[in-house]
Amino acid sequence: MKKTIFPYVVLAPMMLLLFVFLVLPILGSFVIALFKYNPLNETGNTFIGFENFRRLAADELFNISFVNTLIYVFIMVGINLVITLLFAQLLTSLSSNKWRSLFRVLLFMPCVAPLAAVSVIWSKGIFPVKGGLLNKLLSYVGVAPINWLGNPSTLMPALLILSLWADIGYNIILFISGLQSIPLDYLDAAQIDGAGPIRRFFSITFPLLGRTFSYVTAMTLISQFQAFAQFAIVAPNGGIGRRGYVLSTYIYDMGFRNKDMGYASTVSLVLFFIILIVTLVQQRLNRVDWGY
Amino acid sequence: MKKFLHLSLVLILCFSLLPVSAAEPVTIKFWTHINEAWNASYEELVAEFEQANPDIKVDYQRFPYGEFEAKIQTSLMAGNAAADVYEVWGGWVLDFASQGVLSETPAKFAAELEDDAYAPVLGALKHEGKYYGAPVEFNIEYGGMVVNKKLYDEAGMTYPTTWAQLIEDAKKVAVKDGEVMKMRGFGFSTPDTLTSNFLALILQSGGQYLKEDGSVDFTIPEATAAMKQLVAYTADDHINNLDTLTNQDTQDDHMMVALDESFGCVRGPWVLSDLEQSYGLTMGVDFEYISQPPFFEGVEQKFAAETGWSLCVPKNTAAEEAAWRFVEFLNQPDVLLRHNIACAQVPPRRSVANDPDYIAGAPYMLPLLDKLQYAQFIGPFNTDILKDYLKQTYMNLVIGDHSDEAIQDACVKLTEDLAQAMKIY
Repeated sequence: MKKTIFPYVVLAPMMLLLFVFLVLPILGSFVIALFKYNPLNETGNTFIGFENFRRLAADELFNISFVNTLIYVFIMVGINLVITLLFAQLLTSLSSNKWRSLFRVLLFMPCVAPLAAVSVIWSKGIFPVKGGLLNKLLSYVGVAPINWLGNPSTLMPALLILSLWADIGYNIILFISGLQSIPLDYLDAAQIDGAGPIRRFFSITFPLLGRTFSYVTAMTLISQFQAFAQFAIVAPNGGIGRRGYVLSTYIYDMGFRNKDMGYASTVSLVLFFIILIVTLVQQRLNRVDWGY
Repeated sequence: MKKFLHLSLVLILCFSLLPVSAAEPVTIKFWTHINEAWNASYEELVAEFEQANPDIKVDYQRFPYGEFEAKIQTSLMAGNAAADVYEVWGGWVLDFASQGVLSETPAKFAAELEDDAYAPVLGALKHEGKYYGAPVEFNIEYGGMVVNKKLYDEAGMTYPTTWAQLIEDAKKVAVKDGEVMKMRGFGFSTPDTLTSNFLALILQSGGQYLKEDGSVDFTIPEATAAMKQLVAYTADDHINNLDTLTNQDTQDDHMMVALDESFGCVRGPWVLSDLEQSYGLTMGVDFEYISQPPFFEGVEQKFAAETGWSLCVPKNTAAEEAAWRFVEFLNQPDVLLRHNIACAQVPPRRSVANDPDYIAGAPYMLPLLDKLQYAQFIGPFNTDILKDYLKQTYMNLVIGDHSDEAIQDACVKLTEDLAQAMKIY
């Protein structure tokens, strides 16, 4: 009896925490989305059914933020996975432990800094058209100053650069861990059979990295769909041409600027379902049904 | 036993005659946003209030501006308000008051304010005929200009006294090299000043953007003409660029003046203490604050002003009486006078604005004081939304097609979008 109860007892506090701070708010969002809701208003919140959802269809700002979010996420995740896997492979192939550790620390350090602080530094010190570090570096190779945040065509790339810099460290560590768990026997056998490094990577390493890759992709997708700090700080109100307006900042504006929590909940539910569907599809595509 | 009983009785009698310890003072929490000069002045006034009111202690806390509105909102949503007195931006008060979370201004105090305060400073504090706060300043982002004295002296130029001269000079001195604005001739594009100048240009052209129901109409000819004029200054004349709108957290027009990258800009007087304290500049040596000329000669210099920073008391505070005593103290004319001078603010009350001591303490405000009579309340809506949509419209026109047709279409769309997005109270 004690044996069967013990795991549940140990897990109960965490389950309760998850239920109260994760499940209940999500269920609450479902309910709030059906109301014209202002949390400051104790008695005047009216039930409006699916009116908030109907409003989405004609909402230009929602459409803009939706498209921007999809563009940002798919480019960000795609580049992120390529870069982090490349770095992880390079670091794993380093023979010196000292250099491997040094690069691991350097690449992981941006992840430690709070993203809000990082965003402030990038918007004040790196992106400014005059005196910004990025333009200064580009000037050494003869590139004229770019107005990163003042040009609609460069605003999203600027946000992508910032996000990549701040985020790749974590995925590199995960991929290194995945790479180091692959038994060397397979790679040795492939080498004996005459496979070159690229062939070995695509035919042996990458397939065997399946589970790690699937996990990293899912977590990156989920986190980037919810990216907020860099957009709110670097491109307030979406920046020029609203090119930096994403669903998370739109939800914040609707909730805290327009005080329309009901509609904000509706948009957040849309985001929830987008993340859910994309993650399910991704998990299905990257399904790994073997082990080693 | 008898002796013990007698001794006990004597001791009890003695203790009962001891003076009753004074009741614990009530502590009220006072929240404001971070602004060096303002915070320093509030700290002095808090100490003064506590000395005059030993039964009340004030726990003064301040927060970064960027998160302040959200912080106030989330604290009001909680059952027990986190603060007893909030310094609230006027536009936010409309939202809070309409939800019934703010305490009504005591009747006598409200009557005093109605009698003495300028109309715009009370506009957003009024909901359904009642007031829900007390103003601490007349927020004005029009009428005064910060000019870089050193640059003017080096260029051998005199300060402009007409709008035509201002623009002419600005065109002459502005330098743009590709994407880099090396020197701004005149800055007016922050969300605050773009809005105030746009609305002022409409009003001085004889138009009225504010409809009777409180909504806005920018399809009127005066509005499209105003938009065309302001867009042309940036897009065609290049007297400034959009950096102060796109990098608004990193660059402000007065910062460009401080960094010797701008000859001048229109800005409220609150920047003066910022220039002195944050940039170490000296008025009269490094910069001056002068009168912004009207757009047209010989017209009343009408402009729209929003209700600025005000003090509000939440409804669910446990110390409502003490909170209002603190607010009324801060709003006493002699206290307000000192506070407004220290913070480089225009007083919300006529009695203070016309007080010779105020003018003596803040002579640089003279360019603004004469104009206050021409101010109208901006409108009964959350001005953050107006500023956001106007900013986006303006930026899109500057970087894109700004033909007459495009401007007309943009103004129609702006009006329609604001009708959807803005709640009219």
